[in-house]
Amino acid sequence: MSENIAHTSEPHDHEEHHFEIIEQGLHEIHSTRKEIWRVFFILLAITVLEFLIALTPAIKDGLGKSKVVGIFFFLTVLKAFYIVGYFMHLKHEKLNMAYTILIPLMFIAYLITLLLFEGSHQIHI
Amino acid sequence: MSVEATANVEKGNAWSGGRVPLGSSYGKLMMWMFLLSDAFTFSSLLVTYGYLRVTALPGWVAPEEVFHGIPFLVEEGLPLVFVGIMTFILIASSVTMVLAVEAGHRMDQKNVARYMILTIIGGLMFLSCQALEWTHLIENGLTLTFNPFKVPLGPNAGQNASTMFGDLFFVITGFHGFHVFSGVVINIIIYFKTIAGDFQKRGHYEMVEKVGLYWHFVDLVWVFVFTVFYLIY
Repeated sequence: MSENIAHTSEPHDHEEHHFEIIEQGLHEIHSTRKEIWRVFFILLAITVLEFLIALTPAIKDGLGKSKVVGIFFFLTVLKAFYIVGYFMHLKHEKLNMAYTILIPLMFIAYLITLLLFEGSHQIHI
Repeated sequence: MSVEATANVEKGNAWSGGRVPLGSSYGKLMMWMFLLSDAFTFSSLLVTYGYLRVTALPGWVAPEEVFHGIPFLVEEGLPLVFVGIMTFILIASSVTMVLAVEAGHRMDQKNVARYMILTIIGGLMFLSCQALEWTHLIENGLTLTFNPFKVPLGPNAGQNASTMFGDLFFVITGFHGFHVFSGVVINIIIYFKTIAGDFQKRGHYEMVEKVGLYWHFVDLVWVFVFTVFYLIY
């Protein structure tokens, strides 16, 4: 209550504060757009890298299948991080919110582990 | 009771009322919950792919032998280029969606409408590409019960590969394509609500944000489908 009174008694100060907010807003718009394009080019670069690996037999033969598949998986998760974090804005949400979404996804990793073990076991029967 | 609640709020307990612990509106939170459940659906499908693939007999196809042309332009010799174009279209439409959301934060009705239209066009282009690819593969003989492509390596090289490939390909890309189709329909609805000035009257463009979440999720799923079907060999 006392703060309110202080503000009304100094209208000049209040106005300046207002301008600051607008300026800050303009700056934010600029940097948000910049960030969007930055993320776009990162996603594009990762995709191009994936293509280069997929289409170069020398890399595939040199590294071996399991390493190449591992690299593909890593690059995919990296792309997912940029899409969820920046495009879906989860990186700038509250931590509570991010955990609510991300922690249940552990079950997917669990399912993958289980079924891949089960699958490779079935091959040897 | 109310005295107790007020006391809790003052104590700073985030979950005792008077605050928004997740910092998100009901609608946005529920969209996230829906996407979480959808993520489980898609991951079950993709994990099933992995499971069936390692156990498939007589063997699996080589992706660069299946996807090697551009419909109507090049019959073969350009492995994965067409799917590269599709991926690019989807990522680009994700960017226009995010720009629409950003314009919505500024209450810039004209730009929201503009970027929504671009997103819709991107979605329709992606769907057209997928329709072309499906037609191409079906014409080549790939169906749910028959796989004309050969096993490239291993003891069974040269035999027709497992029919599971066609099953999984059509089911998973079909399910994803249906999501894209729904997304385009929802985007069109939101576009018309935007140009009608509904959100301007409401004072915020949160609906665009929610649709944006869905659209990015569709892009996200494609990233995984792309890796699983086209990259891993």
